[in-house]
Amino acid sequence: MRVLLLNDRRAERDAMVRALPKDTYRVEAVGEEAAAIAAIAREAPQVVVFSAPAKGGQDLARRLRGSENAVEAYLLAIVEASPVPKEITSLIGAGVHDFMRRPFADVELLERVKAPERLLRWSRSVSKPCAFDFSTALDVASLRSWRTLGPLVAEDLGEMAGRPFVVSPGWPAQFTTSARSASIPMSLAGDQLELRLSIVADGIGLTWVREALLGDPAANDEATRDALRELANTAGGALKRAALSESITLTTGIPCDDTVSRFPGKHACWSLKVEGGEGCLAVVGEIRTRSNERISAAQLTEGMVLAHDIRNEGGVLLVPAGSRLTATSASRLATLLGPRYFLEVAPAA
Amino acid sequence: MTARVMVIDDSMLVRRQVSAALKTPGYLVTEAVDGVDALEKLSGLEDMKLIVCDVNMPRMNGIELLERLSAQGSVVPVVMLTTEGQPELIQRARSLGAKGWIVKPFKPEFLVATAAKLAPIGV
Repeated sequence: MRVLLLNDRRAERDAMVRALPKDTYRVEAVGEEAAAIAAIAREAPQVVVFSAPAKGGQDLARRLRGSENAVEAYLLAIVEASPVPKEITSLIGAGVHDFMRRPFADVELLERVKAPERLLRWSRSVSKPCAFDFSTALDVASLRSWRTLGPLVAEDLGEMAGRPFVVSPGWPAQFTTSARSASIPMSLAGDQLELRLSIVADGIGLTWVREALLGDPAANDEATRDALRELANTAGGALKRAALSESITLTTGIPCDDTVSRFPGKHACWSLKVEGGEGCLAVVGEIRTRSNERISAAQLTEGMVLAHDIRNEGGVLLVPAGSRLTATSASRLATLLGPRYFLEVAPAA
Repeated sequence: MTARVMVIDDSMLVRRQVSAALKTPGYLVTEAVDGVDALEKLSGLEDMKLIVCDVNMPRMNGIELLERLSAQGSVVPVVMLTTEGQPELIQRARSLGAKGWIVKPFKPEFLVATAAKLAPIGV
């Protein structure tokens, strides 16, 4: 991956070059805008990291993106410790994808530069590659792994229940409004997208769950809800395996009860019908955008997802990006890192 | 003759399915809902021959439980039973001493065969 660094502070620029492994990144570092424009014209970079002046940062971003070779580059701006909110808004408006505040550690630069690699893998998995153009919301139905999910889940559920399913795209035609669902939150390491996968069953579907999975037509409500949550977990596992074959690592949380009315965003659906029976289930996928938060390690709680790797002072990896914290790991990291350590996380679902 | 097995999973359905599969050949099954619950129950059970454990669980997940058991010097074989399939995660579990990794949904006969190999009844 070719990375262009534009920074007029020589010591900081040299440190940035040292922070990016030579076997992974082809780094060209320059100190002036004219040299950066010339470097972009010579060979298109995938990532441009630039020091944004407090005034005119957005104009610099536009000029850097203005070159045909940089239209699809990922722009990472370096700003001062306490930028005014308008400065950040202007940078984003000018096409900057991410920013980091001074002073920053080597590992933070490395993780910020890794982010576009993850996004590239994600965008390559959709039917219409979008590079770093996120002006249009990602549609779950366009993910390749979603398009193979219905048959995969049908196979898994058929194995659990001992009876095959007939699978088709779309919402089940005969579903009543009194359907019930369970969901599992999934996320892409470091990215601010959450994919929510749900299993929905109406009254007939719930009867099938009680009879076929629980072996008890009179199973109580808690047992039925638990079974739905496990079905969501199974569907999540199938999607993770499909995504893994495209080098996309999704992390999952703990399945939870949900309500059918909670599909406010654009979603896609698979319908699974028990062969020879009336029981039917729906698998619903929905992508939601959320905002990562920068918090003190003391504020870590169960369910949060780490947006970047956590390393000790020697650079040894302690917890990888994408890890979803349990109460045990949140407490351990809070103690280990201390309240003065700040990190970026996706909030608990 | 029998052998005691612990099943750790936050899903009641999975605990029920695994327990049913293992009770058929004669295992004595103790259930736990997560890593914290498992550690509490293990402290009172010294004759545990096998642990079947989920990965994604609230409070303490399966990998964290493996870390605790490894630190305690436990020699009880652990088999992970999970929807996860990430090579890094499997390698991590292996380095912490896990003896097997079964991906859900599981085939009962495969689970029983694995249990018989690691914790044979009557030995």
